[in-house]
Amino acid sequence: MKSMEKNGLLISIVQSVYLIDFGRKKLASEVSNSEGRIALMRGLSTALDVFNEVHDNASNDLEMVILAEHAFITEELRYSVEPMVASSLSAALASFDDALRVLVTVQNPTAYQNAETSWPRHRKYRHHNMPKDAFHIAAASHITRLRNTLRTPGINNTERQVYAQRVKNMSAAQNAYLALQKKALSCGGQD
Amino acid sequence: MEHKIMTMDEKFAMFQKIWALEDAGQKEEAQKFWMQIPMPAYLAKWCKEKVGVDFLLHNGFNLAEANEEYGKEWLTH
Repeated sequence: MKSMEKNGLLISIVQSVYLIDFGRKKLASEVSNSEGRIALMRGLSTALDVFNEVHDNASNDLEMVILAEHAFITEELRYSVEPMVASSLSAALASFDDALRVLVTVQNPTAYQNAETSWPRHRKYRHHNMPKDAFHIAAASHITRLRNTLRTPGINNTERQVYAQRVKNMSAAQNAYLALQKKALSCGGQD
Repeated sequence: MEHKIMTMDEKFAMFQKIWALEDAGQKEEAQKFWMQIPMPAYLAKWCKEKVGVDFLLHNGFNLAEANEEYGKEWLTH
């Protein structure tokens, strides 16, 4: 993704997060709830556009997929009241930090080939024969988390669409990451 | 331009202007108003840590809430 497009998408991610955040704060603070609801719905609608755009660029910008999730989870964590949910969201943030680290390593064939030698060959530790590393672990856990959220009663249609799109984004990201792994491990050790 | 802190009502009034511009297809104009709304402090901190200080400075975000919460030197420390 070109630098200006990337900057534009990052701005959209940040702005949709803060619109959702504003909507939640307003809902919590006012009697009538109408302004908070308007802001929240507008934020969710913007978020859907953002996640659609992230999906369209997933194959060439995996960092953006992770950053989008990281930003939204950071906001969700601030409003989670149940300890188990908060714990799950905190774990998601930590695992996405790990995913960002390995995303750097996989783009260095020598480094990734060395890292791969530490990975058991048993299929339990593999994803389509590639190491089931921090990226795959983060993505798979988050897909489960998002699907569990989709089963929550009472979420509105737009929220449902946003979560469904995020599931698609994580799946697309895993496929794109698998391609990076294969590329790194098939290179002759040159950077 | 000196960015200022806003009340929730002021922010909502600004958002209403932004939405009217966006719905009319005037996205660039809408962005100018967006940059006037203070970003929540935690989100500004997230941007600094995950995207970088340049992202915050070059795009002209209103960091008044972050400056108040973290101190004026927070971006460079």
